[in-house]
Amino acid sequence: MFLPEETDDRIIALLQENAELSYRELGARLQLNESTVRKRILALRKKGIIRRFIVDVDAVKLGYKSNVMLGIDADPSKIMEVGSKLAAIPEARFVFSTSGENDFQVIVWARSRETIARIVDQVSSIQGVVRVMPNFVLERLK
Amino acid sequence: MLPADTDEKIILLLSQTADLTYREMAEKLGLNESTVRKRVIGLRRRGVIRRFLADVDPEKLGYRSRVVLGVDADPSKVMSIGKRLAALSETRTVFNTSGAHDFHVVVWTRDRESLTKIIDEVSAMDGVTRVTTSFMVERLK
Repeated sequence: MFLPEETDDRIIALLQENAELSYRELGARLQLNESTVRKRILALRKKGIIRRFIVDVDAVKLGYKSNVMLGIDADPSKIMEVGSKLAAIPEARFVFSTSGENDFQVIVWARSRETIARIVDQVSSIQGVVRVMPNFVLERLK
Repeated sequence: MLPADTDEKIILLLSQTADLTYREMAEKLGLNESTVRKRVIGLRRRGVIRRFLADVDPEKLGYRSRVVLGVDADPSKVMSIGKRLAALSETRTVFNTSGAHDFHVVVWTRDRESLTKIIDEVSAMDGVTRVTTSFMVERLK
């Protein structure tokens, strides 16, 4: 027997790897009742723990061969504006505000090096941005 | 519309919500249901769509410490370190990068103690020369 929280953790761990299984298949893999699995998933969605179901995409195979993580530092008084400007850049796929080494981490998908250069220029010229550190993604290992 | 554009539109929609039937996707994208089905199958076969997964709220799930680790490594040890980073259960995403750091690693832990343990563990790996941490405050996009 598992505690309810452990059951939720196990369901979530599996759904983060593969959300294409039926309730029956999930039940079989987790050694739980199909109805238990269904009830728990509905509850997890209602509580907002599972926000949505999405696809995980291989950027390189989609044709985005130049992918870069930008570490961005900003003037403390301009953090909010800089954040919304970064999020508005179409090529910026993920934008995180961070504290520590940088103020923002932005993942950019581009089809060419030229696009990356253009975006780095664009980001550098946003008012309040004091430093942009590009890190080219060589390979995604996990 | 070019086929590549169609794929791009499908991927964009599925990155927002993959909880749709082919019919619903077709309606939203102004495409044929059979076109959508064929393309999604094609995207999966080519590995463009790696998997369908649940997007969870880490905060509600109890993962209060989320960081991006910048890891620097001895050039001769990069391959083996990459494998070891990917093998840690707490690492969510591992990128081998060139620039400020050799690796960018996303780590979720439930508390600071577990995070400290992971940072210690990574720092102690043979060939790791430096580990920097950036706490993720908020996802803006």
